[in-house]
Amino acid sequence: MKRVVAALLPVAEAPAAGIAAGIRAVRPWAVTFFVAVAAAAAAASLGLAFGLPAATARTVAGGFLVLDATSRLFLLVVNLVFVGVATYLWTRVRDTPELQEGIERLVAFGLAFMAAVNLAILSNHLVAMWVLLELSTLAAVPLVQHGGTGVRLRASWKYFLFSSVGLGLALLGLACVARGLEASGVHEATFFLGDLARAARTPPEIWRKVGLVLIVLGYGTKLGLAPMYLWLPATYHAAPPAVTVLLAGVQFNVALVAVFRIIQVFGPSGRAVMAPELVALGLATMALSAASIVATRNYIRLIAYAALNHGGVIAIGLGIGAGYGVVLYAVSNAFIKAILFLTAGKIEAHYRTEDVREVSGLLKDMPYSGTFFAVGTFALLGFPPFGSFLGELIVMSGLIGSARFGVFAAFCTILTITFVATGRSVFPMIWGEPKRKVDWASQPVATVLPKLVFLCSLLAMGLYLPPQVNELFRQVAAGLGAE
Amino acid sequence: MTYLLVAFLLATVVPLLVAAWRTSLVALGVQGLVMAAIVLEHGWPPHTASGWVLLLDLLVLRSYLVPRYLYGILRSQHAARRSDFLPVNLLSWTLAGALMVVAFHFGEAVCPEGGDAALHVSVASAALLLGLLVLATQHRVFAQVVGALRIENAIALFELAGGHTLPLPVQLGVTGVLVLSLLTFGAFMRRLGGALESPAAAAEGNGR
Repeated sequence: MKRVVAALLPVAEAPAAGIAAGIRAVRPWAVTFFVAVAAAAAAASLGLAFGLPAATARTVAGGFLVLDATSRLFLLVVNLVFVGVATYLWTRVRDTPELQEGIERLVAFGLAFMAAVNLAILSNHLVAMWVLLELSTLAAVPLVQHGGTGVRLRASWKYFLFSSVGLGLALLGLACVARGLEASGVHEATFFLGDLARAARTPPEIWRKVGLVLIVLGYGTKLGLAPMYLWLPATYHAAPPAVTVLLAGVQFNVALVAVFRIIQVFGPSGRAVMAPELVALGLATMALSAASIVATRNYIRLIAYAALNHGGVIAIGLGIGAGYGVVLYAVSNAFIKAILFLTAGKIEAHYRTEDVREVSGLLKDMPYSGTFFAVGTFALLGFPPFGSFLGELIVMSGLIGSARFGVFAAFCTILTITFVATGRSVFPMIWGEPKRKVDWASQPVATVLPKLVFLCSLLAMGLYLPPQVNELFRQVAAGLGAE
Repeated sequence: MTYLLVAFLLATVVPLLVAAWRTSLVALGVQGLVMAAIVLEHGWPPHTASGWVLLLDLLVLRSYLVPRYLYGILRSQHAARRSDFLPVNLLSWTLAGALMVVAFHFGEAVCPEGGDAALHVSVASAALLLGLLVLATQHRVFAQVVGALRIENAIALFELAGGHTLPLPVQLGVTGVLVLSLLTFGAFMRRLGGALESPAAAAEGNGR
């Protein structure tokens, strides 16, 4: 065997050298290609989102893909975030040796990740969606490792292991649901959304209940919900900022779409089963996030912990059926995390530290990044007039409306702690006196533009949503049981 | 079918007692073979292309390729023969035993008719819970990989209890995910090796 390999080696060297030369030739254009694909994907998703009436739902590709309000809205969100990430890479790659090394690999896996994510959102089959979510996780592993440090390697291991187990539990949940449907007389359960919705009209029995609980636990892992949340801060902190945004602003939303699909398919009876679990996990996650925010002095970790908090709010909103608030909050959340993580990457590159005590006077030192960081923090904390404020308000009024006063009190207490702890760490960074020579880092328009678009979207969601966009939000919310 | 399920249960429990990595890999292969035998007992030949893919997944991938691939990596790393998958103390053994009891009670509760149906659920639940226990108590990459693969096999065993089949592209996707996961596990085992065992590495992981 070894002889055969030795004989084949010279033959294999020629194409390998050709491939290496090809990669070297492609390298300067890789990120430009990445940006072009991102722009094309965003344009296509924009066309899909508003080219059809909001209530239209069409299946394509033999019924495996569905174009409905949920898929169209989230396609648009993730592809807008994708444009932000691609532009960030495009502007950073020239002066960041760490990014240049293996950039074509990062672009290749980034495109594979986005392909899997787009198909997962479009998927009309729950197991196919699970497969695509797994594929996006597999594509994200080398992305997290980019740069090759030991810390990133270990973070990617944690991410992969937690994801594998979480998605495994979700698959087990789907198998339990299928078994439950068969037990209640459905001849053969398929996982196509329409078929499942028809079959799920029967009252839930034990297998379906177990299945739904496992699905929430499984997909909850991808959303960073307790108890399997430990991977999230470690990965968001260790990964390159662009990759963190792909995980926090893109993959998070795909996992959320998977949960939306389950709620849409199983309706009020399914939500009644999942509600206590969603509320309990959401509250526990928020509490853990608040405690971690109090303890940390690292601003990237702080944003990661705040992302946990957002997952908790969304889980509680889903549990109580505050559909419109959840959709508003989830979309806002994607843009907030994109703004904050991308800006934090810039700040870290400028100051070479992640310690909040070492960064001061951002508004004077880095006016653009400082402004985005300040506004992003306000949106993160749920201040008006951003969409996150309105989303949180709807969730809170839902808690009052459903007479969950204990949960409401805990929710408000945790939010207050989060607000105080975040402000204590972040506000001196923004408004303090600069600790070093004021140096206005150059900011190409291309870096600022996507963040500006995200910021305008956040404001629009809080102040005025154009009727077409609002109708899309309403359609998604209606599927989640919102009134 | 009872003897097949008992064989699967033995393949789940024995590696925890023997504490050798070779035994653990053989047990993973045995679990794959047992599941293939369960599929064959349901009917031969499979009625659909998707059924053939499932059979190949169990017979070739889980029974042979998974253990063989991991074996090659461990051999190349000159891994020590002994490899504990549970901490060697009374608490761990009691916990493992308690999880088995819980799994069998669960099987009886959800399948009151008893028989093979209840045993099937009990064995799959026991395999799942013991896989989670391995994952929760081990820090070595190889042990965690074995824990994750045990969970994969437990889920596959549970799925065999249902009558549903997946469309061919989806079944191919599920098998493809397992192949890619295996390759990723292998890549981590090669790159991390025993790194996660050392306290120094763990301490380094706390900083960036």
